[in-house]
Amino acid sequence: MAGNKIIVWFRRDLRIEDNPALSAAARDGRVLPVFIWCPKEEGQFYPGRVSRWWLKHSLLHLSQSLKSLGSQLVLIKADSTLAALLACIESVGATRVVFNHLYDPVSLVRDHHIKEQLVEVGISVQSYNADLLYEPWEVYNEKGLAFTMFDAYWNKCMHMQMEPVSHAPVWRLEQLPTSGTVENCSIEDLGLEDETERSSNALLGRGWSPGWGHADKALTEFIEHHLVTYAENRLKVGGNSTSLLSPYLHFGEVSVRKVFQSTRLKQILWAKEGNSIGEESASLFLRAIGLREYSRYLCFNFPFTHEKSLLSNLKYFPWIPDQTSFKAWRQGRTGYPLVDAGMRELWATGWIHNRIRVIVSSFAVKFLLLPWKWGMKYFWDTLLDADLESDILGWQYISGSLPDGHELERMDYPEVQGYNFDPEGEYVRQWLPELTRMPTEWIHHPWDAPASVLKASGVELGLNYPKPIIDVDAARARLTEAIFKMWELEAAARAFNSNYTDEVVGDNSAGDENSNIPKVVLKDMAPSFTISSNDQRVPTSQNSKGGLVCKKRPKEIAVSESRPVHEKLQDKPGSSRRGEEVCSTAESSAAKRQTISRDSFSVPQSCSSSSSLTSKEQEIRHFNSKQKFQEEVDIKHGTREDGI
Amino acid sequence: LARPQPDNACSGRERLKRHRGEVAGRVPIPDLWGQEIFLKDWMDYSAFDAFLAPKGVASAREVLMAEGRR
Ligand SMILES: Cc1cc2nc3c(=O)[nH]c(=O)nc-3n(C[C@H](O)[C@H](O)[C@H](O)COP(=O)(O)OP(=O)(O)OC[C@H]3O[C@@H](n4cnc5c(N)ncnc54)[C@H](O)[C@@H]3O)c2cc1C
Repeated sequence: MAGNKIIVWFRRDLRIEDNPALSAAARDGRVLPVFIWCPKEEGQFYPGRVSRWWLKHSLLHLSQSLKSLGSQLVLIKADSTLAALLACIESVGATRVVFNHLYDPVSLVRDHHIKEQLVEVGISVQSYNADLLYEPWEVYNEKGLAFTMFDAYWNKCMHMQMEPVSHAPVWRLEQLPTSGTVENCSIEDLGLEDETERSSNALLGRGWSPGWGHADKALTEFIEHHLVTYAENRLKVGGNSTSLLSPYLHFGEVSVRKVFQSTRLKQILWAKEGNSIGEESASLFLRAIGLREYSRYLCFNFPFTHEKSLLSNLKYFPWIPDQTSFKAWRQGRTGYPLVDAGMRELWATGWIHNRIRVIVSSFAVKFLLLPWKWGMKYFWDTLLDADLESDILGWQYISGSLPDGHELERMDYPEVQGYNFDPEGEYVRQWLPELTRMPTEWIHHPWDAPASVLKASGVELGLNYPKPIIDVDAARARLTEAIFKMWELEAAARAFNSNYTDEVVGDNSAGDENSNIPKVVLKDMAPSFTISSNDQRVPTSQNSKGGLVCKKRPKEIAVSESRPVHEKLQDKPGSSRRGEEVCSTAESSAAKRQTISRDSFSVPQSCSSSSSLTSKEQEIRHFNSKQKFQEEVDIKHGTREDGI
Repeated sequence: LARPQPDNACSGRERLKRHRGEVAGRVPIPDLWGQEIFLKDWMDYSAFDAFLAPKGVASAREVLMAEGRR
């Protein structure tokens, strides 16, 4: 056994503890740990600056740990991963290569290819699961199909027996000397950090500490002191309200099994003590971990080759590829304070709260109609935790591509969200110093503030803080129009395709390979305005009217959003929404348009009635609605409403 | 310089909080991102889809599943 020489190929599993590939190798022989950096193979998803910064420091950390175990991490910069591995094999005379699975499509293909090639030259290869609680092929519904809704998926997971894997801790590794064929380079030589990036990166180093040792500390601290209040705090966008574990989890610096187990343990303890708040917190935190699992699950089971590929519902969306508005979004100069604060935090710290991710990404897609890939690429470049599957899941969630996500036509108003998630305006004031003196009442919609207030706050819209890049009503109108257009294009394409079926099938290069993919249909039907759960999607024509009637927009919207939950629920059953989803889209858009125009004459209750109220009455209404709204938010705390 | 400075007196959460306090409102976002030239390419679905569905992905999945079920 001890004669075995084994290569441990590290990728996104930069840890010692609970690392199955490393444990197996250490048990069976002498080990050569290697990390291979091959920018060419990363292609379009070459990691961004902040992500590479993290990787660099995490590798340094791992390398020191391996040294203290008696070994050394070999760093290689290569044009071909396979060639680099072969060189390592040759230089130590290894007979075996081990590594941990990755599930994104690019890694899947590369790993498969490498396995085949190594086996061909007589090397034995094993890969292990170090990244997930459940492998994506282990969780199916009773019909053997993949789940398409998160709740059902997670419910199933939570009732499955988790394999009680425990991997032997690694205490010592024997040094395996390499001969000349391997170019072991320095961490600087890997080129993870450009010269020009150093000063921006210096900032990151003051806020974050990459490396498994720090991951471990962060986990312990979170579990011991912050998990108990996660249910309540996770909705706050300023401060540190969540675990901040995402970059560590992405790079595999902490084992997700360990995260799961320590959370479950607490949950069991709290259940025994009757601490229901703690119990609830633990289950919500586990649910967050579940979303990460689900992101891998969806990408794996519904790959892009499938005819209902991920995000294909947006294929015909008439984007507005306007670089100026993209730049305004990127620089946090949209004139919507909550969006701008988020984009500035993202740039300065490499991380933003999930809620802020939802807000800024929805704004890009729904207010600016920017191609979602632009936003996704920007996230990819600026997030420390940039992770292909989670990022895709996030953008799908906000853009109507998931049956349990936001509908495409749903528009959340940044100013309303401001009052919900940053009620005192502290988050906005922290990131937008130009609005520091703005009273809380106006901080999320300065454009509505009286001139005297603006003056007293030192805010000059269009000078020291931008005017809104697009008016709320105009944005809503534009989105509605875009959705109509999308339906039309979709219907046209469908009609066209049905005439040329043969060609389409013939054209599908992936062909038979796909036949084994679970046949589950993701939501791809066009949205219906008829049965919205909130009345924000009142279409175009009467928006302008609505705009005139509803002078105090944010309050107004708060009213319309604040319909009691039971009312919303009533909408669902008899509604035509489901019905419409079933009907064929071929005859669609005319029929749909009818539905919409019929509906569009029903001006939202709150709008029409409040216009005739005196200001005192309005105040009272507002107060009541605020209370109702608060109740609803409270209810939402306990539900899945805040979603992914 | 860019090396993180682990600070034992202060947890990761605290450090991030302090960092936010220090940088908020003071870090200008550059005029150029550096990837503007690619924006047009990212309009095209087929290139993106092709990248995310590389040739052979289906069989790679099958093999991994088969290994995993053993
Ligand atoms: C548009 C958009 C893009 C996103 N891009 C990424 C990304 O590139 N990388 C990334 O890790 N997360 C991404 N997320 C998910 C989520 O915002 C972050 O995982 C979370 O904010 C990280 O903070 P935390 O570790 O404190 O989370 P916690 O609330 O403490 O959750 C613990 C862990 O659960 C996982 N998790 C929580 N929420 C989600 C979620 N919605 N989807 C997937 N996993 C989740 C993360 O691994 C996280 O570290 C994105 C969300 C959206 C809406």
